[in-house]
Amino acid sequence: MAEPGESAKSLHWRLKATFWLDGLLAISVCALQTVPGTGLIIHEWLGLAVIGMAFAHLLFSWSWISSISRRLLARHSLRARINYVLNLALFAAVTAVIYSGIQISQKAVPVLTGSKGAEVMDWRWDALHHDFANAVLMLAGFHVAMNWEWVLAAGQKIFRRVLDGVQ
Amino acid sequence: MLTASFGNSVQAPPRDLLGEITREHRPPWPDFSDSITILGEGVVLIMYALVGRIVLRLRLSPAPRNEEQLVRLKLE
Repeated sequence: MAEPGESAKSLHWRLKATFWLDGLLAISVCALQTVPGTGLIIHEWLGLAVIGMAFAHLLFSWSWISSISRRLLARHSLRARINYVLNLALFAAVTAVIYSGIQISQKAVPVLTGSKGAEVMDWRWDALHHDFANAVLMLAGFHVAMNWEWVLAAGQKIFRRVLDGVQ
Repeated sequence: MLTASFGNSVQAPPRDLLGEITREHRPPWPDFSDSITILGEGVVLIMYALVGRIVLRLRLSPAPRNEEQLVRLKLE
């Protein structure tokens, strides 16, 4: 049987994991916007790593996603509805950017699949990848704005504990 | 014949040649002089977040009571 202390500990662990994962995801999204800054090899492997990070981010938020999806037609506040539509658009844009990225991959996907990278770049996929990446950055910014109170509260809780531990 | 001449006159959409040339010469490894652009992208993300905060606060916060009363009075 779980002790109350254990439960609080696991809750704090979950909060910490979510906070740092989201921070890492935000930094990765920024780093992925500039290929010369990271180089093509890091860009492609980081892009593939983001799939795992985004999947974990969705798992951590699964209770919210499932509860609001089940009551999709019920009356929700305007804020909840806008948040849901924004999240859906962000999910679609991330899926599109990953798919188009896989289509034009020259380094990571050929290594994983053991195939030879395409000799001629498909510029249509490349242009789509670029446009969707811009959309992801914009929607990620709005996503942060929507969840700003959570970011502040979680940050305060985590760093207060760190500071208390130092003192 | 008319269709063929029309078809031949239709131009393909213009290609972003400059963008294509730039993207064709992507360095495989990071160029540290360009790494600063990652910070620039971070600034862009923060800008979007700030714009989102302003817009969402304006749109989603309930109107102040006094304002609501004024609107109601005008309607009645």
